[in-house]
Amino acid sequence: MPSFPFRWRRKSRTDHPVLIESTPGGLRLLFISISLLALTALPHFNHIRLEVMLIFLGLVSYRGLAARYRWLPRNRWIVYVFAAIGFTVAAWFYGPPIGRDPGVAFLVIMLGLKSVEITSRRDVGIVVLLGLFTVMTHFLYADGVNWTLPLLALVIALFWLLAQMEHATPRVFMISDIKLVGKMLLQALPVVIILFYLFPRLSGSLYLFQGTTSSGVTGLGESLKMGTISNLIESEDVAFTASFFDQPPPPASERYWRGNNFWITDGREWTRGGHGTHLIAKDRGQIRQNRYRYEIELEPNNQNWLFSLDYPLEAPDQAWLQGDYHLVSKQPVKKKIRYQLDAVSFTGADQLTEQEMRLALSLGRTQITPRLETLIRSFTEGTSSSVMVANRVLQYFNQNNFIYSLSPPILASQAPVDEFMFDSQKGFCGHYASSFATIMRYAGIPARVVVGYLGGDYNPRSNQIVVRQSDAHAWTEIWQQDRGWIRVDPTAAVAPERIEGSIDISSLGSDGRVLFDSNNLIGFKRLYIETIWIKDAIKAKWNRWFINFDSGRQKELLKSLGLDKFEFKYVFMLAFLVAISLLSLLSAWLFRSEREKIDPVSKIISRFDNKMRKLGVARNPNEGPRDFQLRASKALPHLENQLAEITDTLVFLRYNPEVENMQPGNHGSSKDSQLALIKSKINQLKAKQNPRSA
Amino acid sequence: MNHELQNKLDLLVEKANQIILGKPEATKLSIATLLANGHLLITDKPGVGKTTLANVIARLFGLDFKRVQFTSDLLPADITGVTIFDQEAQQFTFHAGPLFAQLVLADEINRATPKCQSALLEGMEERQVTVDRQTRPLPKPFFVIATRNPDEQSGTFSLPDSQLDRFMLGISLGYPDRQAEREMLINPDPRTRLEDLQPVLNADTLALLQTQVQKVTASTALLDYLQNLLAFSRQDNAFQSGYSPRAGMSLLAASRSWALLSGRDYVLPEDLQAVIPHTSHHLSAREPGTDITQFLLDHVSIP
Repeated sequence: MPSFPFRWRRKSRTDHPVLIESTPGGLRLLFISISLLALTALPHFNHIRLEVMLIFLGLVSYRGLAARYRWLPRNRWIVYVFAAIGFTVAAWFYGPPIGRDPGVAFLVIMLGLKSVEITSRRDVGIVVLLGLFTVMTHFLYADGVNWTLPLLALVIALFWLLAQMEHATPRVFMISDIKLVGKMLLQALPVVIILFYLFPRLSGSLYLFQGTTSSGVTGLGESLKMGTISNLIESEDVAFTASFFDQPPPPASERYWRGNNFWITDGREWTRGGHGTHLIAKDRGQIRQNRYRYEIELEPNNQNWLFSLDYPLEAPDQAWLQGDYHLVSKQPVKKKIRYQLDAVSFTGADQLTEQEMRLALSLGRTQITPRLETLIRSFTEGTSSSVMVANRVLQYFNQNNFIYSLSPPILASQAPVDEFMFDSQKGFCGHYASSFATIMRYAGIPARVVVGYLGGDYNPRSNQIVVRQSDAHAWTEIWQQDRGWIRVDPTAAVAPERIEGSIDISSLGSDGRVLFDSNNLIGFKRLYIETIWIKDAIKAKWNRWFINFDSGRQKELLKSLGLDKFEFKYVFMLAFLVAISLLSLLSAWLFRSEREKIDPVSKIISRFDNKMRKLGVARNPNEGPRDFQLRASKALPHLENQLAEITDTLVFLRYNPEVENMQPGNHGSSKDSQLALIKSKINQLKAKQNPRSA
Repeated sequence: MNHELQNKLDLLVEKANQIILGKPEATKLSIATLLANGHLLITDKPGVGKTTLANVIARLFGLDFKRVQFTSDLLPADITGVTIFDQEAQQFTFHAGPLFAQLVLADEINRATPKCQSALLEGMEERQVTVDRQTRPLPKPFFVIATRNPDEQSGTFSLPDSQLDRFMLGISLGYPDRQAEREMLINPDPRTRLEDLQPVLNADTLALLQTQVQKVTASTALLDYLQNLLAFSRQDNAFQSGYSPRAGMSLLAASRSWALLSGRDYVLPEDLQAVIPHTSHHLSAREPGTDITQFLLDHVSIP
């Protein structure tokens, strides 16, 4: 690195730094700086109030305009005014800056204020530091790989800006800058690795330190109302990922991921209900056939249940398994979790308790219209077999022009099941499942609605099934004395392709009819699927390596390194603190030694400069001794003679040839004695006495 | 340095300022350039007194003075001289051109063709001229004061950077202030006063002064400062190109000379700062129109 006396690196000795926009290329540097600052804060647009964001953008623009229109004031007072306005607005909407969102809002206001305060080129360094800090705050909201990469780009841009400060004039492309940025990144890498792997972990990723609501986290709801699942299906977000280790996954038609069972209905809405169903799972451990062991990595959904492939054998650590195969999570899923499960394809003829039986047959306030009653009668006529009745209903669906559609008409009447069965005949899984369950119950067959996901994309790259929100599904189960719960998916009767393939949102017909993926993927289609697979595989690796590296995994790592013997957390903290203090001592010493290396004359000159600064006249770094003497004498006329004397000696010692020939001890005018003399004279310099006290 | 020489220097500056009104810095810089054995470039509009300044200096220095008006049809031989066959002597004899003078005023140098310019510039650097394969030394001392019109004026050939480098300092005079102009208006003909002007120096005293300039001390601290300036000009992005090593040497020589004219036998940072604003022709800024030398001085601190 060149050892230039650049002003921004040193503690400035100047009272009036050169205005950044007055330097060559300074205008460009200023605009790049404030644009980068704005860019680092801009992603917060999603989380903070528009008003706060507008104030921020206003402040940044103000600084930009002030570069062009110099008459715009940029003094202390205007900053106070802006600060008052900004903080008042932020406090109005957020209250005190406690918590994530208020903190970020105040930070953004302060960023804007700082941009107004940019004066000299040195201040660009502050912009870089603030920018890096702001980048960090984005991880309070999200930590996905697709989010991290743009932030990394921002960090690189900020490093580039830092490199620009090596030059007085910024240039967009310079090999040496790129090298410098690369060097900085590489130098940071070992520190990052050490801190990432060894710094004591708090459990949970950063963006869960929010304390506020997890609004926007999607997932299945607490109830099934005709129409609610439609929104879900249109989201391509990943719900969870299931890894099947060395086993091939179950076929697509068997991939029913159970989430919640709905027992209670009021004719329109199905809910779990606040009671019942706490049955102990039966021992089905001996079942060996079609047994799958898999691991689920569940995205946060803020719900109280976990998903499992039908039918779970035992509950993972994080949950209780209930009698209806519902996995109740011990805590709401607020962060990404992983759990392992065994699935068997057989339920083992569960028996119902009286209470369950009552629940499974209750229709609540459901209105059964006469024509619906007649229809149901026709299903039950002449048979006592539940399966037979179910088949008749399915057949009815199949043969009566029912349409599977993601945008069905709104069912506004008091009897939505009736309206669906006879008038609209258009709907998706939720409509079919709830209508079917209602019909079953009215026919005296215990039935319940199950919501969860169906299918998922098998990614051969990672041997995983990726289940997206668009795979959300609802189906039914009916109970039969000798067989227990039997899964019946009425949607299959209408759109069997829904069971085999996933819904392709891009191929929605204009009337809302869903066209399904065909199995022969060719050309671009194939490429598209491949891209998605690779994307998911990258995301899975990212999560595995970085996001899920929590305190538990850290413990494992430390164990493998043999560092778990003692309380590593505290040892590391201590080591970290020691390292930090050592580094600061080292840097202090380095700066000191740079000063020490200078000869005694330089030392005395800086002593003189310091003294003069205290007296209110600071020497500019580029001001020669005589120029300074003139200026200082004008400012401090009472010191004129002393200043002349001191400057004479300093100039003599520094620039005069004779000083080289001076021998020590040569009749009292040796360099050392001169230095001592001048030192005392500098110490005697005083501000003008108050005339009244004199 | 003895008093006699110092007095002569003072007298030199004083007399020059009696004729060149209101331009003490320009005259001092011109004198400093010649004392440092360098060539001077004056860039300014016509009629501000460029030629007068050159005339005054030639007279005061007691130098043999020739003036060449550069025009677009000037040929190199017109300034270097020609070899002509002498019928009587039955041999070729060399007829020296105006370049063979101790002080050459090359007036409006950017009006001449590049070929002609380079003939002059070769002489400046080598202090010799090659005519018809015979190399002839130029007189000693040898100075060139070139004047040029600002390049935006029509009908000019701008000087390439490599040739500008040979001028130690480049000054411009600018319009006189109100008081100086009033004096000019009252006493309009400077030529008559010029003719009365007696030389202050002769070749011997000039040589003596030039050795004195070389003896002016530049301390370690000062050389550090100079080298910081040179390095900054070469590394910073504001500069297309920085000072050449030759420019660095002439920078030091000029500031030595400036120090001597200021009555010192050692160089102060202020001396460097006095001459640097007149060295912008050694530099080229990436963004035209910026005050590149001021930028340089602003950004390099004095060690």
